[in-house]
Amino acid sequence: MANKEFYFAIIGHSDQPIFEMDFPAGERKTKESEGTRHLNHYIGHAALDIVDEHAFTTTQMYLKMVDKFNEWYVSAFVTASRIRFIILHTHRADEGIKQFFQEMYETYIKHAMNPFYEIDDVIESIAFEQKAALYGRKYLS
Amino acid sequence: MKSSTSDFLTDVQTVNIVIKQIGPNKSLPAFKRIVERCSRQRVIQVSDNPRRLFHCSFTQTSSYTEFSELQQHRRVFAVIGVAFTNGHGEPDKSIRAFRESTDSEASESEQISSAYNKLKADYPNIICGRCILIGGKDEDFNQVERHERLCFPSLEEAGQLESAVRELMRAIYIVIEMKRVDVSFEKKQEIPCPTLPDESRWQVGVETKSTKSYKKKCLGRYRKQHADYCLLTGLPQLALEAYEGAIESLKSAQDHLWLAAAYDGWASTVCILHAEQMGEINCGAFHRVASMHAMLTIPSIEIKTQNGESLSVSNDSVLSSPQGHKRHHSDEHIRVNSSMSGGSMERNESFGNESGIVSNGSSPSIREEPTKIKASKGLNPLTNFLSDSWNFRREKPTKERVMENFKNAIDEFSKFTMAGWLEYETVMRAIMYLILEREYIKLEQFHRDYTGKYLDDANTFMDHRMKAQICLNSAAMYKEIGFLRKQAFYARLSVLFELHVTEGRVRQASDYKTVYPVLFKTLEGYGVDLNEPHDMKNKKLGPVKLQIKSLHEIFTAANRAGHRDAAIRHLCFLLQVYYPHLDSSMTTRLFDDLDNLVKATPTVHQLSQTIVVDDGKIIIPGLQLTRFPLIQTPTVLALQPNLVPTIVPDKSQASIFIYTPFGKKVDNSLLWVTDCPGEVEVTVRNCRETELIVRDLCLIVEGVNFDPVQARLILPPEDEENNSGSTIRLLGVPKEPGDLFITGYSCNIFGLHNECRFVTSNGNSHKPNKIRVKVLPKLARVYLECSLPRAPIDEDNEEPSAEAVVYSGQKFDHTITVVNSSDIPVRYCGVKIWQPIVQGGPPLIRLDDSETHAPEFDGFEISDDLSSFVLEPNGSRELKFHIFGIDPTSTADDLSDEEKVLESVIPLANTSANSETESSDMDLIPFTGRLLTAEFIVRYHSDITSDEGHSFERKCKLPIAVSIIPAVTVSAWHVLPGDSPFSRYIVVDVTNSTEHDAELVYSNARRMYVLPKETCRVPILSPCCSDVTGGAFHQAKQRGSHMMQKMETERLRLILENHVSKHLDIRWAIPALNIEGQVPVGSLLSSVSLLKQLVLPAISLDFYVNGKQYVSEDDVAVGIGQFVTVEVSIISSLAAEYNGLLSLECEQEISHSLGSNDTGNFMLVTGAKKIPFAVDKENKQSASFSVTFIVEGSFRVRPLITPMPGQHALLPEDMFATPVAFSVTTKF
Repeated sequence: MANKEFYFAIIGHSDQPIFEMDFPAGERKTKESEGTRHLNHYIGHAALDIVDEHAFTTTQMYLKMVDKFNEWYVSAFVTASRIRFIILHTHRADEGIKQFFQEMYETYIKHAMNPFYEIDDVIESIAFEQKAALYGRKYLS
Repeated sequence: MKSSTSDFLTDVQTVNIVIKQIGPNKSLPAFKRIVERCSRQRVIQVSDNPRRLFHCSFTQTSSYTEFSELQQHRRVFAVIGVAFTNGHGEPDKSIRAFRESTDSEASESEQISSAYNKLKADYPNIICGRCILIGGKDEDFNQVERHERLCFPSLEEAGQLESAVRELMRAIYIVIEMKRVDVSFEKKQEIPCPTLPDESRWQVGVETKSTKSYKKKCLGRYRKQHADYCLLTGLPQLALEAYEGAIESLKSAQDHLWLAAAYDGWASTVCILHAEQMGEINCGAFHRVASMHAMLTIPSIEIKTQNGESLSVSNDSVLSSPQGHKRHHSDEHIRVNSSMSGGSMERNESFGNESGIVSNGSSPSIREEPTKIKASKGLNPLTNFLSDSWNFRREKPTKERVMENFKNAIDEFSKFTMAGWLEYETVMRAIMYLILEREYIKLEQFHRDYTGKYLDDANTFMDHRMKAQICLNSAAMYKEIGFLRKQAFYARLSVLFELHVTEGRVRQASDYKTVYPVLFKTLEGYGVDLNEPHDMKNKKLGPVKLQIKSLHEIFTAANRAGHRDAAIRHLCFLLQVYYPHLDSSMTTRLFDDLDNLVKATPTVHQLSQTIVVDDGKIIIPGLQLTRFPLIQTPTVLALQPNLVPTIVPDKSQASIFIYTPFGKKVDNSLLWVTDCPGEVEVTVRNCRETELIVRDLCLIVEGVNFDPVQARLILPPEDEENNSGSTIRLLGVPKEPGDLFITGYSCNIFGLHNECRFVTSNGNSHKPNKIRVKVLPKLARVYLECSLPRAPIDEDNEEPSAEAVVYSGQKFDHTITVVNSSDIPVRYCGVKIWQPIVQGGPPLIRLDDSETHAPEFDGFEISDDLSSFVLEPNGSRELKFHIFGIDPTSTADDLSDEEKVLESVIPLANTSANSETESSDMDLIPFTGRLLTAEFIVRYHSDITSDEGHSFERKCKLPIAVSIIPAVTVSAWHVLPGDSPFSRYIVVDVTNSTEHDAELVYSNARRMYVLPKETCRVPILSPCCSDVTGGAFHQAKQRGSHMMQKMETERLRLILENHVSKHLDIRWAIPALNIEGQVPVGSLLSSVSLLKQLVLPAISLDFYVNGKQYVSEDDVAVGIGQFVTVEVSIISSLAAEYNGLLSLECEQEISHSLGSNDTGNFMLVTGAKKIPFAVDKENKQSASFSVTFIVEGSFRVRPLITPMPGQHALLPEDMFATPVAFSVTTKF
């Protein structure tokens, strides 16, 4: 796979994705990418067992690469409130992913501080999306 | 096929025995039972010191037997043939019939014998075999060797089967044990090298048998086999040592395949020992016993397997070892002691001695190395185990070493393509080791690194089915460690491999039958729980997209596998739980699929029933399709007002305590009656965008027999305007008394039978909503019949009603019938009339004959009833009543004021001494007639009593609307002095409101005619009432409370009413209409201010103006300055003498609106202004005044009495006097 591809998801407490974004952002959704998205869901969901196991055994929030299936690597980050950030990526970019997770964590905290947002609700903020896209461009390219 | 990951590990210490069904008669269930019975004996204890267990597995197939020389656990050591002779074992009848027609009895035994021999021939390396014959005679099967025959008359009588199987296992054990103890290969110079069947094919070059390397290879292979025997015969410690030796030899000989097997054996043995110590696998429970002594005293031991089955191992199966280890019993106390202090040493010692093996020279050195038992060896079980067992070892089998050896084995195996599966099994054993170590992160990484290549497309050695199996094994492994999401992932991956289509092959229903259970088990991993009643607003559903996709896959698999019911159930679950998350095209497609499935199903699918698929391996729970339609907020309605019963508690059985904490309140809140339809109101919503047809909608109840009425609904699609749902009522008839619980509803929706429970949601919790309704026994039903026309009183009320029209004052006779329409007798039926309260005069409705025929009951109050009687089943009773046209303006219901004294007609003049308070009570409703309503209320008690002694009361009503047309009525009244101070004229203005002439008859045949719409004045002379004293009303007002005042006033009013009503009899007749009646004088009789004036006052004053008695209201015309003589006659009704001063006072009437003012100086009195008087009952006195007016206008002159000292002051009502009105003009 020549292009670097990233799929970022924030996973709630019931394993439900509350935010999803593909990088590089802005690409039109083709039928193929929809299919990839499904595969990403499955791989990301299966990796949650390892993410949880890591979260039990380490105090680190950034868990580095935790899983791999075919060409997809899975890196994860677990917040203090056990919200899981996962990135599926086709190329190793540990430092960029770490930075991205940190920035997104801060953005997520700011979003979660909104009194009208309940934890585990789907994130539908345009500003949040824009931030995610910005950090994606900055660190995941 | 492995059912769990630990099987990969236990396999290496298990002896394979193939069990197969043979002969012409086959019976799969009976064969399965035999296999199951054999499998229960899969572990026997062959030695108690050291404790040795011998494991066998009874399989129907064997795989990779070509590697049985390499790994002894792959070898088939024995075969068991199972044959059912004719008439036994419940064979398939058609086959039996066929067999019977073609073969004779003798040929059957021959067939069985030959089949058994063929089975033995299939496995040439077996040690022994058994032929289990069910139903045959022993002598018929002489072709089978006697010691191999196990004949039983029937399966039930095969009590010796288990002991025979144990005997077989012991036989195998003895043979393997003999092989194990034979270590002559260590000493022999030339030994044949163990080889695999096809080894020569893949061996490169020619081997020189005389080389040292070859010898090492042979020795290494023998040691490897010896180690395998040790492991199979329950001596893992020895096996470990033997593997060590084998590894040494094979490594130097560079015999890679065998080296791989030896590495694998070594690491697996460590795992087994480790697992045994941790109690992880089958035999673990044995080693947890604290001491050997304790074990010997245990008669039988339960072995817990991983699958939860329990194996019973009895001591009778303990096989005495050839070495006679029983001798240890004599020195048992020493061993017990030493096992307490250093058990590991003891164990090693006994191994060496007991087995009689001097292995590769390591054992004798055991005693030389002292063992230090550390009290705190950490929590790591392996650390303890290693320090216990291998302190004497050159190299400790640390965790790393175990994993390294596993990796070595995998590396060595990977050099041989044909040993791919052996390599995979080693990988799984390594994974099992990591499971035991709880190293899940390492495990996952190891699994990912080592199994990935098997699943790769480049791996052509394994076909897609093997890859599917590998994925399934991974899924099972992940399930064991609780990684359900991973399990789901690999299970789904296995399905993808399973359904992989190779060229020239299409997917069959059987493929889907295979994958369906696998997919079904992934649901848990995706967070789908089919058992959980899903809340439709639940936002914690989980990964919804994955759940929808996996459910849709399961639906497709079930559909294609032919599990139609399961497919319908999955589809309904998908729609029920995930409807809001589905896009419209998918929803339409799913509903189409559902429709097609339902049409293809011959019977109606029951959504509430559990579905069993795949021989009971999959159980799909029932589903409540509550979304289509949404039926919520059930409310049980009370019965119709005429049917609703009330429980009347039996007062005769009242508690002996007045105040008791155990008082049971009679719950009258929700009562239904047997055979009387009850209703439950629910809100129904259709959340689909198309019309929804609900058929056979009815209630589900528990408790009593109930006959629900089925309803059919067509619900319009939901849109923005119509989304609140509609309210409907579900009907049903309870058929017996008791407690009825309304639990839910059932309906037919989309062609499916759906049963749902009502639930109450309280925040996040949902619990079933059981509505309890008490059903009473069947009760009598009584209704009222009246021939009067029906009145349009209330549209909703289904009760009968009646209407009557009367003229005011007219009397109207009619009848009403009380009918018992049921076949239950009524033991008490009481009639009451609710009607407007009339203060004076006759009431609106009156029963002609009030009677009491019903027997009296202590239980309830009957004093209010006007009439009471008993009603037979289907009986009736007629009641006569009359309606009186009361003055429509004079009912007490009109009063908002608390004063019940009525002043409904306008007095002609303010004649009383002080009438300001009463004037505010005037009713000014125009005199145009009115519609009054009254009700006959019949309450009845059925002749049924509950167990607690309660009786049941029902009420029925007949409202009657009485329209009163004004005819001849009183419009005004006035009280004037009569012809003597002891009588009064009640002057009544009577108005004829009709269009016809009316004739009045009053005061004993006096007649008068009133023209239409005219008023005439009727004077009626009435004597004053001497029963009430003058100050009585005043005294009544002084009472302590308002109620007392009211009661006293009412008492006085009643006395006066009785007195006056005798004289107030004015009858009218309208000849043109041929009607007659009585002028309703209720308003007069209820007027306290009128009646008050008929009380005989203490002092009455009579005026004479210029010698002429002043009687009328007419003014006396005088000129300014003109003197008039006003003579006042003072009459007393007091017994005692009353002394006072009489004077006159004058007030000028300015206008009606402004009233009057005191203008005493406008009237001049000549002569005495105050005249003293003394009167008593007998003597009256006159006083004369000469007065003149100096200002023109209207003046009223009234007397003023000032009591003499010692006399009490007169109250206003104590004095009766009509003021004299003067009209003073300038010119006269």
